Amino acid sequence: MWSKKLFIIALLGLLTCCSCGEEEVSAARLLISKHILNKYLVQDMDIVVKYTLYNVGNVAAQDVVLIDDSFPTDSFITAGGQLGVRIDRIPPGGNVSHTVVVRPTKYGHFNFSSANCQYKSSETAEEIQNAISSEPGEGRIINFRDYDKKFSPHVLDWAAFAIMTMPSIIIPFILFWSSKTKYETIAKQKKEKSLKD
Amino acid sequence: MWSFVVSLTILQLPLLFAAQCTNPEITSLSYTTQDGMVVSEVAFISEFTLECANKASGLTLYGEIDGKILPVMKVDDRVHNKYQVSWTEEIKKAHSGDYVIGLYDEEGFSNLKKAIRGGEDPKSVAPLTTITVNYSGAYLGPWINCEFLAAVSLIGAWYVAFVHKSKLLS
Repeated sequence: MWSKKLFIIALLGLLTCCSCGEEEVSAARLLISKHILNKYLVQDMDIVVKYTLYNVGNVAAQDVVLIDDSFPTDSFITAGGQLGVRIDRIPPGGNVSHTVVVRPTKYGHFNFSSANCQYKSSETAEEIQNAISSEPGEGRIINFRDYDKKFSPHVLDWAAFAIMTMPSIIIPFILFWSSKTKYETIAKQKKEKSLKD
Repeated sequence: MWSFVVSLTILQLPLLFAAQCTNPEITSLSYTTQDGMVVSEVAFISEFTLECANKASGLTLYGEIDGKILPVMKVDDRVHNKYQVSWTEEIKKAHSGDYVIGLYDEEGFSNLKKAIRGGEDPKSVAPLTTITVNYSGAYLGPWINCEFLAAVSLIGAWYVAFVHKSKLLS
């Protein structure tokens, strides 16, 4: 008997939940992703940060403000783009992307955390909705010198190596060449003599 | 009474035309990632300031490049009319040279959408103005590896020596 009552209560609860859900559907909902589009994170080199805002609701999101204050100014500089932008509206089912390029001035581990977003979930909504983006997570920023050691073409090093190895190849060659020309001229003279005779 | 109505209409005229930008002038600053060794996608960023002859501000703009619609973010639209348009492309697909982005206001954008939907050429809808982003190509490492060059020159030197030696011996 009790179990039957409990079942009905649970069913009623579920139904109200569903109806709540239906009411909420007529609002804009933003999903924000933050991606780092890099193969390596290197000090003083570009880091491409891409934000994509998806509106999964069925109403346009209004007055969307995207602010990323997760890059401290003492360890990052913005090379291109702005970390705080605004867009008037994102239509339902629409997505909008924004790209910023930052450069780390220091190396070591850094936790790439989320960006903040504020928007109005409908045209009439007065309440401002807060959202946070996905977190790219922790990354290791490599020292520029280490990166350079591994990936630079080492032109100067190879040029130095070439200059250093040159004498051991060139000097014997010059000696050989001089003796060769000497003997060749002697041989020629001998030939000419024998022809004259 | 009439003078009051006329003055009110004249006062409201700029408000009516505020949503449209006349004689737009653009000052843009663009940035593209040059080093293809560290990044996996090329970022194209253009920050620009829009100045209208009629001092219109707070305009909503849309960008278009090769039939693709780009969102134009507002950086500071109230005082300086500053905007940003940005996108990313795969390194292999990105070609070096100029990228011309057409900027549209709301009216132009709805015409553009209609043209795209109707399968027409997006270029048939004249943009408000255009901005150009130059991309000089990504650095993907040296053309020839120094190691390879050293090996080739070593083999060359050995060949020369070998030829001379065989000539002498014969």
